[in-house]
Amino acid sequence: MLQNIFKTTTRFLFKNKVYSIINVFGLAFGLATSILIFLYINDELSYDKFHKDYERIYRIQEEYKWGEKNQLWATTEGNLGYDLTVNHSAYGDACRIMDIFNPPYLYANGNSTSEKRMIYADSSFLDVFSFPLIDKQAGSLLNSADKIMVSNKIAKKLFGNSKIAGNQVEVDNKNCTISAVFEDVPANSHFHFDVVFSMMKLHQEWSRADSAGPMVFYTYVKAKSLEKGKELQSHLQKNMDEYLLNILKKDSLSNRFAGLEGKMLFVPISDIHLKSHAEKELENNGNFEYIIIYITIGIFILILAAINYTNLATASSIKRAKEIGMRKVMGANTGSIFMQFISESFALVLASLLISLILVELSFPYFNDFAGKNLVLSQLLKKESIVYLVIVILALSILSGLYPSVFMSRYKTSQVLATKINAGKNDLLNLALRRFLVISQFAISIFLTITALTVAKQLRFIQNTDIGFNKEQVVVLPLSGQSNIKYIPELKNELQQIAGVESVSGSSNIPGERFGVYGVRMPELRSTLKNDEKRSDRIGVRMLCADYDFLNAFGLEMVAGRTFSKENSADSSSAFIINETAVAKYNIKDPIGKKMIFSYALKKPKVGTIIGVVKDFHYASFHTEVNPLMVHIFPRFYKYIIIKIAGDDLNKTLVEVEKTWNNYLPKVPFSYSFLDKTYDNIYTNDKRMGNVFYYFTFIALLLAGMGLYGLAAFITEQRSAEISIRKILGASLGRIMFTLSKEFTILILIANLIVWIPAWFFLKNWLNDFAIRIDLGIEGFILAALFSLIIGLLTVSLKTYITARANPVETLKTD
Amino acid sequence: MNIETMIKTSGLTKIYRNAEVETRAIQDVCLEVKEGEFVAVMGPSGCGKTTLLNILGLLDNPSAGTYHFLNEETSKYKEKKRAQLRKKNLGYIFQNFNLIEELNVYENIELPLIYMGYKGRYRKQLVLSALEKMHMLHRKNHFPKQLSGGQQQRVAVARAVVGSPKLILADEPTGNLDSAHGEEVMRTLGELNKEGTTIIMVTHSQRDASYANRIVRLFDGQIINENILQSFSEKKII
Ligand SMILES: Nc1ncnc2c1ncn2[C@@H]1O[C@H](COP(=O)(O)OP(=O)(O)O)[C@@H](O)[C@H]1O
Ligand SMILES: [Mg+2]
Repeated sequence: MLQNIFKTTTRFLFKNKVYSIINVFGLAFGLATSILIFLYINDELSYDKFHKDYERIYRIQEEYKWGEKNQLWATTEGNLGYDLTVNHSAYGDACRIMDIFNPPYLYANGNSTSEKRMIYADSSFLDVFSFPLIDKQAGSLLNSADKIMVSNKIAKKLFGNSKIAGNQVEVDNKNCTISAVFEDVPANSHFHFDVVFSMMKLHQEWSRADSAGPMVFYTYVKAKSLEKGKELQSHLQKNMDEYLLNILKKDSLSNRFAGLEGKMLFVPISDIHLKSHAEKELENNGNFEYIIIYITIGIFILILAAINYTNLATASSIKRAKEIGMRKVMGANTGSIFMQFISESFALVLASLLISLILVELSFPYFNDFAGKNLVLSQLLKKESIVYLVIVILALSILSGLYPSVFMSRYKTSQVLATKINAGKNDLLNLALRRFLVISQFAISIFLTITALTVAKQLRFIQNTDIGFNKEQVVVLPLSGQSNIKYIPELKNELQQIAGVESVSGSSNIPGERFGVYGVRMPELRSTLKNDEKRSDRIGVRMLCADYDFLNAFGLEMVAGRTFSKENSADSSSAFIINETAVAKYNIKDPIGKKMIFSYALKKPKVGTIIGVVKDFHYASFHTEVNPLMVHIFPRFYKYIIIKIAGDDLNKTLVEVEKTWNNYLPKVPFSYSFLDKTYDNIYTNDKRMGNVFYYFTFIALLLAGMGLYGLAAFITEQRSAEISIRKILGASLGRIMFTLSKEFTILILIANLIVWIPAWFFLKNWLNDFAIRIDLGIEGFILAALFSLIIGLLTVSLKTYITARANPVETLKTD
Repeated sequence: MNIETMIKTSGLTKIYRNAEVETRAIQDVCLEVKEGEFVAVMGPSGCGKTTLLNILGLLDNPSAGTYHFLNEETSKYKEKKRAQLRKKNLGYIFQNFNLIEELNVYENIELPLIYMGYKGRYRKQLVLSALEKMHMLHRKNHFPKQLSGGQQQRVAVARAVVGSPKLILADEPTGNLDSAHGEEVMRTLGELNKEGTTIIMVTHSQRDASYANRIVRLFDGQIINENILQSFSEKKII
């Protein structure tokens, strides 16, 4: 029996090649897309789960709310981790990490490397985290200032070998011992690093690391159990509440912190990547919303594929009615017909799966590129992937096969004996359902089209809007470590001599990076507004530590006052520049000449005056408005040398730059990047979403077109006699095509109307994430409508043309 | 002289209802067919012949009246039960052959046996002997499209008889054939009848009807007269 059904099915499929190909490829595209989405999401959800007992590892964060303000940082002060280790070890192990702002270079064995990602960590590092070691010394690994752990990558770079624990390495002119070599940090970690220094080293440089102070430490705890974790949290919360109560008591006069509330957050380590978006995250985190969007789209695409199948299978049912009828005449019951069609869809889904795996494999290079992943097909062999595939295949088979099966098994036996299947009454419901399916398919595709068009427009807008600085032909050289900074003045002078170099400046940050927030004091603010008791003299600004030539190097403009000048010897020690937003936000009247005090991590505060106001420039992405900014000359924080190149021969200039660099800093590897490239990276996530939408839109339109082709096939099949008679009576081909296209035009227009409102809301919401954005116009909507109509009508016309072109006698003969 | 009654209907009526119209396709048909009979049903187009045949063939239920098939009252039977009876007892031949295009000659003929649940070896034996009887053995691997009308109908006849049904229903079996091929099919049916299979056949052709023992004439859904060509009992006694 099964064999017989199988034969009929395969022969039917081979005979109706177009039908089968459309079906199989429709399903394959749907499956391939969903597999890619699955792998992507699976990867996103796998972050930090490689740590042993990751469920018990938390990052502790503090959230404060007062007035309108909400402060949520990923970091804490240093005393929290110290307190946990010393006083609360019964709850679990704690470990602090500090990101090294200006990573030093490493030199050993005649090779050198400058990696951008280095951290300090407490000696409990490996008690909390599980980073597998390749080689290690006996004993504790991070318990003295001169011990460092390096990644396999660095070991290979310096020694050409992984087993190098115990070797010496020169770090910023000092000697350290490599206590361990660890496997390169996997991609699915929320932070990456190539070198781990002992916290002891930080202690040497800065003795107050264990006390209250700047919030620069990431504090992690691995609780002994989930309950211990909860206990610890409520314990810390209690301490915090008491502490805040004290502050509020002291504050009762000025009332600056009215309504201050604080929360001790225990963020599970596996949630950080997708759900944490605090200030000062270690890396750009993913976005859980996008995960939801992608899942939704994945399901949509699968539904589209299933609808397609349903459409085509029922469309072909007329051709198969005779077979089914005869089977029933000869005694097949409803159940076996039902099984026949379910197994048929199952077989097709399996065939599509094979094709989809090929498609997935072929698309990996592109997909990985735009998704920023390293996915490979073998990941599908994992348990959860197999479960996923089995579920999807069963669901898809049932979803696709159900309606055709029911539809087919319901055929009345006696109908088949009539020489022609009566397609009228019985199929009205069928036709209505299929119209509904086509409308849904188009609705989904139109939604995606509108979204894709709008996302593209916003991204283009970002690309074309003036960011207020010049990012073309700006080369960024990372400095590696403190010891280099002293060479900067000479290096700069030398670089300046090179033909093609326009200006050179040291800099703490480059646009596109996060600029740290600092509090500075402006005593005059208090005096200018005497009647406002609550007015504080402290203002929060982001900081750029730059150099005399920064204005030129970045291509900025001043709106008031002057920029730093070498003629004014005081500029290097007591001059500040702020941006327009700072002036506006803090309502600073006549800013030039106002006093400013900067005291962060300084033994003696830096006191100076504002010498100018720089025109606002977008040093962060368009997701936020420009924030208040302060610029001053402060070489200790330099991390880069910025070179503005003027000449045409960029490469020649760069060769010269490298030569000069190697003269001054022979042990520090030369590397550079272009500012425009790094700046564009801030839109990686947005572009990624754009790309995903373009791709999905394409697939959705393709599937919708296929579905429509199916419906057109169904209708023209039903009306083939009518078409023939019309032709015999003299109707032209064009006329017939018009008659048949009318209905589809209406269906597509309905689909457009249906999605307008949800698409509008979705896009409004998406655009709201950008402080600087396009207006959501109606062009996208109109364009998508036109687009869908064109695709729809082309598809229908094609099918009608094929049917209508046929010799009328041929269609009538079989009746 | 104990001839069993195979079919007995009384007051058999079928009404088709559409939104606007109500068609009485057959009305008040009382008919008895005994085992071994060969009945021809004749009448103008649209008079209800096919409808009657469908009901007698258990492909459809009557709107009113009773239908005893092999002493079972089947007029209220659900599709499932009818399917059971069908596959055991009935074979069908249609004007347009109704062969399954995706299956070849052999597989088409085998199909009813599969539904009857016969084992593979036994099926083969039956199919081959049916093919032989229809002189179609050399065509067993052909697909319907590759055969002439007459050949297709012979395959359809083979398919109808392969399971040795008690009753064969044929709806204008020669309607799509030229006279030579028509003759051939009629001769085969005649032989089957002689071997004991009961046949009810709808036809427009007087010549085809002459193969039958008895002619039932339908007009506007009602039987107008029964014409016994040959005394059936007589033939059996001899
Ligand atoms: N499924 C049906 N629905 C509605 N009317 C039908 C249907 N089948 C047959 N009829 C009507 O019943 C009458 C008898 O049809 P039929 O039995 O096919 O006649 P015949 O086979 O004698 O030509 C005709 O008037 C026909 O239009
Ligand atoms: Mg008829």
